[in-house]
Amino acid sequence: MTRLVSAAPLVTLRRLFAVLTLCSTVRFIGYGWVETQILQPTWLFPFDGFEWLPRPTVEGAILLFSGMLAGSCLMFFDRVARLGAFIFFICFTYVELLDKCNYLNHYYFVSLVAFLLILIPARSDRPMVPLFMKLAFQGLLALVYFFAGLAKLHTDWLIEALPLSIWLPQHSSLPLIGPLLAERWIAYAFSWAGAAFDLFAPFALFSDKLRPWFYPILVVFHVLTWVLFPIGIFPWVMILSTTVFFRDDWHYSLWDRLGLPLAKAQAAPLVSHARMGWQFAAIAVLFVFQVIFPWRHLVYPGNPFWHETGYRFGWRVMLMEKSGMATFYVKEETGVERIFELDKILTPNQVKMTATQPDLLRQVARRIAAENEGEERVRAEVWVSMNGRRSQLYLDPFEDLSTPIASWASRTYVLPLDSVIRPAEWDEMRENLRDERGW
Amino acid sequence: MGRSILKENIGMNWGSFMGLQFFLLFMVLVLAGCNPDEQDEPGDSFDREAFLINAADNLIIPAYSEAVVSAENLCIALWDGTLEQSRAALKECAMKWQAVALFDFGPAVGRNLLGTTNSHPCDSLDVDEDVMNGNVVPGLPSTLDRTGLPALDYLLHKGEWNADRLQHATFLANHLHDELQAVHDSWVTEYRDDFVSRTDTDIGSGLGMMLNAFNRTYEGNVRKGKLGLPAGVFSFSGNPAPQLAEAYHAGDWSVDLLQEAMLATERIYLGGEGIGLDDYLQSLGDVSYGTELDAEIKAQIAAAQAAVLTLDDPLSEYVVSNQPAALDVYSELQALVILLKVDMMSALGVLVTYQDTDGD
Repeated sequence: MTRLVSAAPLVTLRRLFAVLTLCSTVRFIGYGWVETQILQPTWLFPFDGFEWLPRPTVEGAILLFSGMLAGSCLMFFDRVARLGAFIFFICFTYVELLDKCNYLNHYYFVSLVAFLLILIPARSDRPMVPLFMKLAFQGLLALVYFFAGLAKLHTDWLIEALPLSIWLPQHSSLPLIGPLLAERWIAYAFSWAGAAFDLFAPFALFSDKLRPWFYPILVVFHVLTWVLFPIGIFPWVMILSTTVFFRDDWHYSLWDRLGLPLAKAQAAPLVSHARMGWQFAAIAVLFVFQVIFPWRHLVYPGNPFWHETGYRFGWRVMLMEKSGMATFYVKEETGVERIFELDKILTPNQVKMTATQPDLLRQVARRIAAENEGEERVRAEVWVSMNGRRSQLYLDPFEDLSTPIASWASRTYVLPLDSVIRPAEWDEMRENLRDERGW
Repeated sequence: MGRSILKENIGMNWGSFMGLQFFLLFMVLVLAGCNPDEQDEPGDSFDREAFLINAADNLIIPAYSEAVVSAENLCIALWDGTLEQSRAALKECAMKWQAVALFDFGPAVGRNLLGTTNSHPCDSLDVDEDVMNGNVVPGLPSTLDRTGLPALDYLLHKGEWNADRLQHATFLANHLHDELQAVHDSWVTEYRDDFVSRTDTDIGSGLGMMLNAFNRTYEGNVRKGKLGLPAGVFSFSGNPAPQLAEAYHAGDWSVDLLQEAMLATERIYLGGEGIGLDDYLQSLGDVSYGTELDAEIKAQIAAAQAAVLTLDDPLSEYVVSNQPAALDVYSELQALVILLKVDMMSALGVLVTYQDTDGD
């Protein structure tokens, strides 16, 4: 673990990552998402434990995004790389923590890589690093693929080829592959091949024998997902960062050709063991966490895609078509129940994201109760359709959602996926249930 | 230097082991490919361009044309017809407006057509003031509730009909006509070709824009605006709000407008005589989100239309005297929202968002 290896792959990773984060930040600003995702929303829904983060003003947002731009630039240059990674990490993670509605797995991945780049020196003038530093990046990438693959091993994905059966035919007007995408067997082929690819990737990337033929497949796979799905820069993050598995020669010749030659590994300066000690410990802790944390959904009964407890931070990428619609009802002290209209308060993206995620639905209800400051109770009738199933009642419609519950607590208020209540049945039972539940 | 013998070995071992696994998976994959479910339709892809062309040429542009003609007729009736003729022309114009409202995207959004032509209820005091002063500028955010169809409804049905009112009504009718004409012209001259060329399914695609507008208008203007608001579904007290009925001052054709809006909703779903959303769902095959969903949506449209027929005008009185019955009708309209907005959008995989973001 402390054996010294060439730092070249890490230098490549750091520089490519700096370019990627720079482009990604420019893209985010260019699309106007600073306004639509951070400044314009009336309400934000922060992650648990981060409610105290001050919401950025216009000046604050300018500062945060300038920090990301500057941090990305600094990351490119040896001497200030770790400072740059630190600035980028703080600003980027701050923005991500502000609103769960904006959560994306690849944002989480970017945060993790930036964090590792704070811990790990990857300098072109220091030719050697301890092996564990390289393994930290390789291991993280391997885990991302592996967990993404494991998450595909369930009946919707493998037996029903859903959601790909829904998504792929939409692209039937693409040149060349378009007509194929409308075929049902293609959805099966893509589902199975996708699962196999993800599970196989860690082993193929670590193997010098398999990598040469696997990497082209990896590029094709990610480019295809980029063409077919709205997943932003994620494919490019993966295509570029997996070069950290390449042999050292490749990295040396790459930077030679680009006119930024790296110091060749010859007389390696010794790395101080004291410094390595805390870095090793930090990385080991992070790695153990990364191995265990994505499994936490196993603690909860039911279908994790449905109740989404322990769903985030688990590399479940592009796995379901889920849409929903929530109507919130406020019960006044006077006994009158009225609809609380969300469309005027939430952004369209927030409306979409909150409707299918139980912890977000509860956060919405708490905000509604907080607005009213009284003894009101808040309930919601939520209809959700997942992976081609018909819409069904999602939450217990007479649960007071405004009472605080930790988002990691068992979500007993989510109706099981197999207890299907359709709108017609609900119409029949609503008033009886209302009396029964004392609402 | 960076290579170790140890790693080489690991690589080989995993390589051969996973190679076998991969081969097995590949075989299963090939078998899955060779053995498609017999019940499924052969990969018959849906022609989205034909769908958009049908929507533009047989639904959208004719709807605007008819609305423009009805507004012209209203102007003519005000110019040299009786008050009765003008009222009839206003009703006709409001009826034609219903089909247009469901296409609230593109040029219509650019001009805020729905807001300028039909923000009800109108502020009758402001309209009276405008009759006196005659210097209202239509189309501003501050004047939405004193122009358009609701202001005309008030002018033609309440108070004493006189030359000042006629003059102001003519002015508002002309503005209404010009707005409809402008959107119509945008569609005919340039937007139509742009629209039918956007055959993707993302946020800016023809289908995405059309379906988002369809859902938004059905949910907001039809379900909520025409029945939910007057029936008191959204009020703080839970009491009916009769003054919020559309065409409140005319009184005897509020339900007609709702019926017309439901017919327009059905027409869009069926694509008129041509390729519609029903064909799109059917093309997905014999799955729960395909033909089964299509049948359920058709049944729910029929149920909602039948329920609307049980309402009586004046709606403003009906919601007060028969609020529970009105709420039942509302439930039928709401059930259709769920089918269109959750089930259908999820089946089509079109982004139900009205905002551009990355997903994962």
